[in-house]
Amino acid sequence: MSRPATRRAWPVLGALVVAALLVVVAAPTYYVNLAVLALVYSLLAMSLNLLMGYAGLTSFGHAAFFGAAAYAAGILSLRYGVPFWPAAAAGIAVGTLLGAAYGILVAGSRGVYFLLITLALGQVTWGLTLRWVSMTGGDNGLPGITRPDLWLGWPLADVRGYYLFALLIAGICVALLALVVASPFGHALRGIRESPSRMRTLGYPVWGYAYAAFVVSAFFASVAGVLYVYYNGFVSHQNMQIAVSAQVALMVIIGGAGSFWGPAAGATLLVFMQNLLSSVTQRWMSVLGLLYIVVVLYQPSGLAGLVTQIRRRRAGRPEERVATPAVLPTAGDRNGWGR
Amino acid sequence: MSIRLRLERVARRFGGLQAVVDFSLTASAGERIAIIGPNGAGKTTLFNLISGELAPTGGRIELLGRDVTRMPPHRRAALGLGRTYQLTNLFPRLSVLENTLLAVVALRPMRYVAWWPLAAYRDPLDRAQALLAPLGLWERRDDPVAELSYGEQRQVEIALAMAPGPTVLLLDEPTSGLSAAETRIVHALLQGLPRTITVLLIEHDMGVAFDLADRMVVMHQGRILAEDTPEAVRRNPRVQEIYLGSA
Amino acid sequence: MFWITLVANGVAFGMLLFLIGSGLSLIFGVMRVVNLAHGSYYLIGAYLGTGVAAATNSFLLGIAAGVVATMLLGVVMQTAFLERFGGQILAQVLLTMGFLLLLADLSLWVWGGTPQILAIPDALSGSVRAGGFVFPRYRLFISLLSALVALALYLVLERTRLGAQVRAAVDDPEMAQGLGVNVPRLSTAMFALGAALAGLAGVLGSPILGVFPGADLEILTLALAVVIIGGLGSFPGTLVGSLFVGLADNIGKALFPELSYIAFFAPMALILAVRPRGLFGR
Ligand SMILES: Nc1ncnc2c1ncn2[C@@H]1O[C@H](COP(=O)(O)OP(=O)(O)OP(=O)(O)O)[C@@H](O)[C@H]1O
Ligand SMILES: [Mg+2]
Repeated sequence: MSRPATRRAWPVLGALVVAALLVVVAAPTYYVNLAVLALVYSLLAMSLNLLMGYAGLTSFGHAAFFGAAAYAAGILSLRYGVPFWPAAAAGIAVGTLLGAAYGILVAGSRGVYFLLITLALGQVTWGLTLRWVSMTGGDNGLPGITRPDLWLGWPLADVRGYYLFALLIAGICVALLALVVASPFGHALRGIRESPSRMRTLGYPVWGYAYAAFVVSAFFASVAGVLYVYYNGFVSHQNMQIAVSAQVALMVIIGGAGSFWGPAAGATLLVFMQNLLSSVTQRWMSVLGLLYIVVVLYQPSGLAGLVTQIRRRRAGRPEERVATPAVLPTAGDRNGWGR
Repeated sequence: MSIRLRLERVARRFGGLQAVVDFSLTASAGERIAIIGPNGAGKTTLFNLISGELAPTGGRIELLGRDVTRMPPHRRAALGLGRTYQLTNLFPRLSVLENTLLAVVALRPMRYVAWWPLAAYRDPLDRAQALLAPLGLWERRDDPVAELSYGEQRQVEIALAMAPGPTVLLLDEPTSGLSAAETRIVHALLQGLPRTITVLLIEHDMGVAFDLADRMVVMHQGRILAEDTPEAVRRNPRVQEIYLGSA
Repeated sequence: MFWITLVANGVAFGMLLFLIGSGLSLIFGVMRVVNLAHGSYYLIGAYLGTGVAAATNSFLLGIAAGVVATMLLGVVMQTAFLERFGGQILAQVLLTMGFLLLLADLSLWVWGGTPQILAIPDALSGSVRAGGFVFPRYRLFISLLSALVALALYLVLERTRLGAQVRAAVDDPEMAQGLGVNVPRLSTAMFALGAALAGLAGVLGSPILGVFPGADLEILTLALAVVIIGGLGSFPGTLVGSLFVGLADNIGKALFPELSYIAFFAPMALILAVRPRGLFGR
């Protein structure tokens, strides 16, 4: 099946790890900061990819779980002085439970309805956070969350130390995600993406799989949220806006939905672009807006699609008989509500 | 002989259209029943009612002695019901092997495993090979199923339905759109199905239908027009007039 | 008295939400597009209307400017961008996200970050007395005007050929196309109408709500709640949904300001759980 692909992947993976470690020693502090953000958003994008790329369920409310976990951990640490590990665990629990609650409301929908409902749930969660001033700090957010001092040998207060910590956690999560994706469960998700009706008559409880995928995805998004809040020391309603949800979706698409590493590449690209460009222009938001439009107009199958196209051209079969990865679901998906 | 499937006055309306009307039928273990009828007779709708993809607007469906009228499709499958589709319904971007493996593990407890690679399980792989090799598709196991020829896809369609080991099998026009040569292959494939399986077969190819069926049901405008042995149906003048005449 | 004011404000706000929600719902119904830029029409309408009204000293000209500009914006978005991606859900929603960001940044650039407010025209300021109750005149005006728009919309949808085509397209766009309805042209009409209504809501709303960066997102959120509660593509659903959200939001804000979103979020979640297609959806 994917054996040869896996074998080819090992050297690449090795190179990635070496490069990731080199960042700590070689890169200037500014870039180490960006690298932490790249890790956080890579994890977030990969968590969304489980839904979008594998299960074919496009969520536009993913920031809710990221933000809820960040807020929960931040509030516990800031207001109640809860130490890192319990606060982090609670943050992840809150984000995951929110996913478990919302999952009940969306797991029966597909296509554009799924997108709309997740969007609405995400937005309402954002509005709630914005107005709940006494708890969340409202418009001002929650500043002053400090990084913990763990027994890891390198103080996390130093961004290089925190980078290593984030690398470790993100690495564990990515390994877990790789297992999920390769497992019978992960294959079932792809089956659901391709044909929910066939999966049902084969005997798969499709609702349960969609629900489980939603919760698992919320779990990894929550881990990313906790990593983010301790890195950033600050969380605000901006972290759970539609802008974040959409940007994560864009990362997945730029990287190529349904490819395992693509979303991480998309996330890294966007994080670096955003920070480098916003240091030269005030109009970063417009650039991002244009980027959305350009991506849709010119490369809807993302980086992974680009790679596939180049490979095919090299192999001398430029014509594409099979659609490139599951990027842009079509109207066929809209018929809506399964059981 | 024990009864595997029992339909009692099953009905389905679409707005003002009566697609299936007061349809009653029983199928015993190992029986092979062909359902024929002109386009729009309600045959596919009937299958959708049996498989649970559509809810009946009236009547009662029993599978292996259990009332399944309101049971969702995946639980009917767990009882031993399998089906194929008239319009090929596979997982187009997954490989032939992945398609087959999904079907092979569909009813095994390991389908819930989320922490161990599917590829690491030996037994499903062997079963997939046993299913694909006779079709000559084992060599093509890594190709996306969308890249197979139409005829090959129709064979995978049947392989998927067979993979979980159903006791009642619904086949919706397995030979539709196939060339004469491809039809012969599928015909042979169906002949080779274990005699323990109860088969309901919708078929427009009369050669295939008459050869495989123990009993034939002729459907017209949602109702049973005739139900008899193949020879009797062949001689039935009303069938000749309404079905064969209009086909 | 407290309650009367609260309800009057809630109804006025609800009717504004109706203007926005009906466009969102029609666009979704006909094209299956989730238009994230719908709140941006409101924002642009409000800024332009406020600016033009202040410059010309004419409330009417402000309304005209807001409505015409957003209508054009909607038509351009649809014909130059979205139309090409018919049926491609994700492509379309990403395009509208791009416009959401572009328009938000553009208005921040042009109008700055400080909230602006449009003065209520003299003829509409003050309040109306009726049987011992006092209603703010401007809110009454908004409610009545929006009710008139709703009535007109209802008559068009129910009584005209265009309305019949819209209803057919909402039920099944492919079938409608097959029956000879020009769905692309219809979609453009829906975008023009929906954007214009949202722009109108922006101008009308800005004397009571003000306009500020981020108003697009707040309005979009409420409009989403409206269409989910009411049911997508349903006219009565949108009306009931908007009045409900308008009232719940206002009453919630008065009673428990910090958790006011719960007032419509909880019912919305409940409806999603038991009637996923909304109160009036099929
Ligand atoms: N989901 C549906 N909604 C509305 N009408 C339907 C639906 N499914 C089937 N029908 C109608 O029900 C009738 C029976 O259709 P069905 O597909 O069961 O016929 P069939 O016997 O399988 O025909 P064929 O031989 O062409 O496959 C047809 O008139 C069809 O248009
Ligand atoms: Mg049929």
